[in-house]
Order: sequence, then structure tokens, then C-alpha cells
Amino acid sequence: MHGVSSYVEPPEEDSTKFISLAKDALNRWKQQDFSSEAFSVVNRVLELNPDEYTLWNYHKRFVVDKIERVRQEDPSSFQEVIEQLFESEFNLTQRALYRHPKAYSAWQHRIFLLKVAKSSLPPTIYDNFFKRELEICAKLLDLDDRNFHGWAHRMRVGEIKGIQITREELDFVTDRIYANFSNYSAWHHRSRILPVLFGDQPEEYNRVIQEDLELVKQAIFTEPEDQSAWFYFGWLLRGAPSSHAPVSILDVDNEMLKKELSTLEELLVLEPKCKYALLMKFHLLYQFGELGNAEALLTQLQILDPLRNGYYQHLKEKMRQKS
Amino acid sequence: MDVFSPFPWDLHQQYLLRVQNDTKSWEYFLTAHKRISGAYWALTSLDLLNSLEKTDESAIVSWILACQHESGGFGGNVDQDPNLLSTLSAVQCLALFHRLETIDKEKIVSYVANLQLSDGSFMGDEWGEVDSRFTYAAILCLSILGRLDAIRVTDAVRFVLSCLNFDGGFGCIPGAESHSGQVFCCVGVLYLTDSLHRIDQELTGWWLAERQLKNGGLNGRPDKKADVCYSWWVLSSLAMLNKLDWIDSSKLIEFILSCQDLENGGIADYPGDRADVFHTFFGLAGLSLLGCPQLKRIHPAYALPLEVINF
Repeated sequence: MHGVSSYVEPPEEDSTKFISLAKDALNRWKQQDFSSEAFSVVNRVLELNPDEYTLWNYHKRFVVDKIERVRQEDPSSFQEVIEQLFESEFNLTQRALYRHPKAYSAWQHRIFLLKVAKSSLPPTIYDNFFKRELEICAKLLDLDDRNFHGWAHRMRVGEIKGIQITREELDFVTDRIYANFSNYSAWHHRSRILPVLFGDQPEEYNRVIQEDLELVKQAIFTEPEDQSAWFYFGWLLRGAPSSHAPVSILDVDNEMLKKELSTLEELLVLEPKCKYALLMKFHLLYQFGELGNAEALLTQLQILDPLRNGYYQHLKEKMRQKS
Repeated sequence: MDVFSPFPWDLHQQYLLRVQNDTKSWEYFLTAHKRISGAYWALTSLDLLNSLEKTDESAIVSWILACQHESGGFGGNVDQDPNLLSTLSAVQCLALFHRLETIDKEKIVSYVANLQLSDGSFMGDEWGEVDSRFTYAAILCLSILGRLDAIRVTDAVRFVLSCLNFDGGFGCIPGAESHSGQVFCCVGVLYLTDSLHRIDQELTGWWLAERQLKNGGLNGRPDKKADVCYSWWVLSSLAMLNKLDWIDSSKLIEFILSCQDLENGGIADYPGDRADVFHTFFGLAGLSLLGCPQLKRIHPAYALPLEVINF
């Protein structure tokens, strides 16, 4: 089991009674039994095991049907009843996530609720749901700045809401990069945001990239052995292409590359064994056609980083074929 | 000296045959909803160990067929709703037993095809969740059934390419951070559709190679700890890219072997942790790709023994 030490005894309790409880719950779904008794059985199982996806489907069906029913039968109390319905659904996922914070199906149920709210309820009801959802994500990321669900959920929520990517979003990730240069997730999101924000303003984009090169410089001098900023650096030097704008729209000229080469050399004086700096320097020298010096760097990398010897060997062979 | 040592394959075989019958454990309760994937992990592992015939084929096949719904899709167990991942597991299990000819393939094909959305992506089931994992499940399922023509492949590939990130990795949806599991799925789709030339394979390969840590194990994202499951996801991706030699295989073998339970069989996620079927499969599959002589060879994209797939 993930992270379960072999020295920790599994729960003594026989799980037979939970297995029959789950059977009961699944059977009630099959019978389309939405009585309050059925509900409490289903919810008990979901709290114990939020990965029971079929039981979330039970809730999904219930939510969709109830919205329609109330709309037709009791329009005057629609807002009140539906708000209550959503609160209890959100609460259930929260109880499940409290015990199992990584439960995919519980996160997905929240996404489902937001989608349904956005498509079938007035903004007076759903605005608050979205606001709270983004607050929860920010809180998760405060506790753990690489939290996978925190970032992914935040993105999905923004998409459903139709939030345009703005400067604020850029500021959100910039703050997180400054708080921790090793926050790979934040660098990743920066690479996603920039092409969307500046894709159609090449001049502004170039200016931002110049600033980013300074930011990267700070990061690699602070954490030379951390790969986060290095992957981002490589992306900048390739002209910051993205899957949305696959052709590089930046001027990556020799002057810029030469400047970055001298930054790398500066760092290598302080950290002569920094493998990422050596590799990045190799890529630049290769581009400048200084093949002899480039090959020497690969030989150095093969000694420094023997795990990836085969990768460096591949680069050597590629270079020899070129020359 | 044999690098694949100690490797008590007979203990692993006994573990795999035993563990499915442990119906009173907490794990049994927690994994009941995806028993069909559990069956796929256990059966493929046993097949890699040349011991599939020790299982009760007819009982397993009838149970799998009992998981199928009117729509053609399979649920994770007899009382579970159908979804794409379980459907793939069912098809893989049936392929292991060479029983695909005895079922109504067209029904499965139409279930899978109906889950494709207009942007080319796939939903995991009728409730609408989208993830690049589902594209892999759909493409692989139809590749095994020989019916890729039933979906819009070009659109599916376009969606997968939109999940490509700045680092050469892939995420679960466009814009989501790269993760080894998703890289496996997306590289798998590109491999199965002859589209690998659409990406910068050197960059993706470097990101994958950077997953190897000093202890020899592989991680799922930068700055995370090693885990045996990535011995499959990262390694098979490298194999599909023809870059298996970009990492140190002997160190990886050492890491996987150190996660074995040498007394009771089975492989855990990390040295000292408790073994489970999931990690036993990923460990054995990794060792198979690395050429372990006691194991059959596995196909990196189909995730089935080579001999199961007719080429």
C-alpha cells in the first residue's frame, strides 16, 4: 500500500461488516431507493471509502433529478431547497476528504456539483460556491505548495466558472515562486499563463521574458541543484513555445543567448559541479557550433551524473553525427 | 553476478494466488469497486511469471462477463457502474485468456466510441469527467479489439497534444502539471497512433530520465519520493520512446528488488512498506522491461505480455 509501512499492523477489525454495508448501499442504488435510510447507508460507505465511485453516481443522479423536480413542483422555494441540497452534498465530500484527502472521486464530485450549478442554477446561488472553492484551493496550497489536487482542482474550477486568465493569476504564481524557488508546480503554471496572457502582444511578452530571465537567475543562484527553475530556463531559451502557440514567438537571438551563457559561467565559478548549469551550457555551446567544448561538458556530466550516462552519450552521438 | 537477485519468483506467484482470496481484509473492502483492475494486475503478473494456468480461468471469465452492462461497458465489480478504465481492464483480462473472440466486441466498441467528445477527448463514464488517462484507455481498448477506426483518432491525438507542457511532460487536462502517470498515458496514445513524431522526444525523454533518484528508484514528479509504480510508468514511456538506456537500469533493478517482501512474496511501493497487488504488478512489469530472465517480456504500450498481442 502507498506509504503503509510493513511494520504497522493493519486494522484488527474484520472488514466483513463494511463489505456487507457496501453491498447494501450498492443494492439500494440498483433499486433506485432514495429514501433517507438508503441515504444514510450510502453516505456511511462513502465516508469510509470515498473511492466507491458508483455511490457518488447515486448522489449525482439524485442531485440532477431533484433540481428538475423542485423546479417543476415547488418553484417558490427553489432557491432555498437547492442551496440546502448543495450544502449537504459539499459537506459529504468534505467529510470524505477529511479522512482521505487524495480521494479522486470525492474531488470529482465537487467538480460535478459546480458544473451542474453553473448550468442549471442562477449566479445568485452558485457565485458563492465558486468563491469558496477557490479559497479551499488556496488554503490547501498554503499547507503544501505542490499539492496536486490543490492545483488541478483550482484549474478545473476556473475553467467551469469561465474565469479568464488575468494578471492576478500571474501574480498568484509569482508570489508562490518567490516564496519557494523549488516550487515546480508554480513554474509550470507560469509557463501555462504567459502564452495566454501575452500571446498576441509580442513586445510585452519579450519584456516579461527578460524579467523572467532575471527571476530564473535568482532562483538558480539560490537553489542550483533544484530542477524547477532549470526546466523553466530551458523553456525560455527555446523561445517559450506552448502547445497553444507552438511556434516560438520570442526573439531568441545570439545576443540574448550569449548573455545567458555568461550567467551560467558566473554560476559555474561558484558551483563548478552544478550538473544543470553544465547541461544548459552544453545546449548553448552546441547551438553556437562550439562542438569541441560542448563535448567536453558531456564527458564531465557523465562522471558527475552517472545515472543518466546514456542520455549524455546520446547527446554526444547526436553531436558527432552533426559534425 | 546475476543482477536480478534475489528474486523469489515462486513466492511472488504464491502471493498473487493467495491475495485475491483474502476477502476479509480491509484492503479487500477498499478495493472492491475496482476489483476488475485488481484482477488485471494479478493475472498479468501471473502470466509474466508463466503461471496463468494456475488460475481458475472459467470462473474468472464468467465473473468478468457478469461485470458487463447493457451499454457494453464494464463496471469495476459485479455491482458497480460501467466506466472506461474498468472496461479496459476487462478487455485486457479477456485478451490474456485469449477469450476476445467469444464476446460481443461491437458492443464494447460502441460503448467506448460514445464516450468521445467533440474536442476529441474522452469522458471516463456517462457523468462527464475528462482526463488524458481516458484517452489512453479508449485508444488501447480499441487497439486490442482492432477497431481504432470506430473513433476520431486525429481529434483524440490533438487533445493529447494539447496536454503537452513546457517541460515535455503531459498533464491530465490541458494546462495541468506533468505527471509520470499521465506521461505514460499520453506517450502511449501517441505510440499506438504512430504520432510520436509530433513531440520533441528528446525533451520528454530528458524529463523522464530526471525522474531517477540516487536510490535508483523513479518518481512521479520533480522533488517527490521514488515509488515502484513509476518503475512501470516512467520506464515504459522511455521504452516507447526507445530511450530505455537513458537511465541506470541496474540501479533501478536494485531499487525494485529492495521493495520485495522476501518472506511472503509481493512487492511494495517503497522499501519496508507493505506489499500489494498494484505495486507487485508494476514492479514485475518494470523488471520484465529490464530483461529479467524469469519473466515473459511485456509490451510497454499494451501493458500485456508480448505473446498475447498478435502483430
